[in-house]
Amino acid sequence: MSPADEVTTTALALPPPPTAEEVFRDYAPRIYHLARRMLGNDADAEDVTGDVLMQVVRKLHTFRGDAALPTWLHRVTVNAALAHREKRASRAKHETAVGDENVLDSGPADPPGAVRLNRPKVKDTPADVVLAQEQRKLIEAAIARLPGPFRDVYVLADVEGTANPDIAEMLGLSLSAVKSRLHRARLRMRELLAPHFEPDTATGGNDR
Amino acid sequence: MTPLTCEELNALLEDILNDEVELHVRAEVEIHLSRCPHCGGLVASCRATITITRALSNAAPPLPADLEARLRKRCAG
Repeated sequence: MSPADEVTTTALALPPPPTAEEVFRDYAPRIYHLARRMLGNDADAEDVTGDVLMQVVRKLHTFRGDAALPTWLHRVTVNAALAHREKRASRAKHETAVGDENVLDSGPADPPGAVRLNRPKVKDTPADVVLAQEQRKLIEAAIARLPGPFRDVYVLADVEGTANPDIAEMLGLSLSAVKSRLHRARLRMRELLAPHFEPDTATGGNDR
Repeated sequence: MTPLTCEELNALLEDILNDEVELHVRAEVEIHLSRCPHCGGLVASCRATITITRALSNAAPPLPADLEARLRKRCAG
């Protein structure tokens, strides 16, 4: 085979599109957890996950290799969750008075209790942190206390690792609005989680 | 070089957390953080909160079996 033939063969050997089973196995948990964090309850997250999975399965033949799939799935899930919440809010408006979603609650953090969080070392990346089930629950509960507009930005930025300009585009916000919401959400999350951190031996535990 | 006040440090908090502090104030930020236990603690605990939250994405826990079964049924139908 000449080098030219080899290049042609390699270029043509695109991987086949993923199967529905592969999508289910590799992506369904991520879709569900993202939707659940944004919507704050299991039933709505299940609805959105079902809708998103059905859309993906219908379009599977258009994906060659799955490099574009995670990004597309992420975007579709965010859009579906936002649309779901809008539908729910307009239904709620007819039924009950809706609270001000733009106000961060200032209630106290849960008492530290038995769940403690190991303070990551300065050099630790998120990949170095291993969370036990009860620690995950504690963090998820703190996220759930953020009102929707703050939660969306926080989840996309600090759980999903999405860049601020991309969040602005996804949520239809200005970049400065994203930064401002993220700032307030981060301070609130710190307020809720800091009491659970093990004392910081390096700085003498100066958290407040 | 004028030392930063705690209020000025607080205004730079997002830039500090995102490692986007402009070069000309970086040294002042470092000095303030090393001398002020309040701001040093605030930045450290904000960083720890972000790192620990980001770790939620390390491995998504599997779906509960009954939920998985319902979703599979819905997709198959």
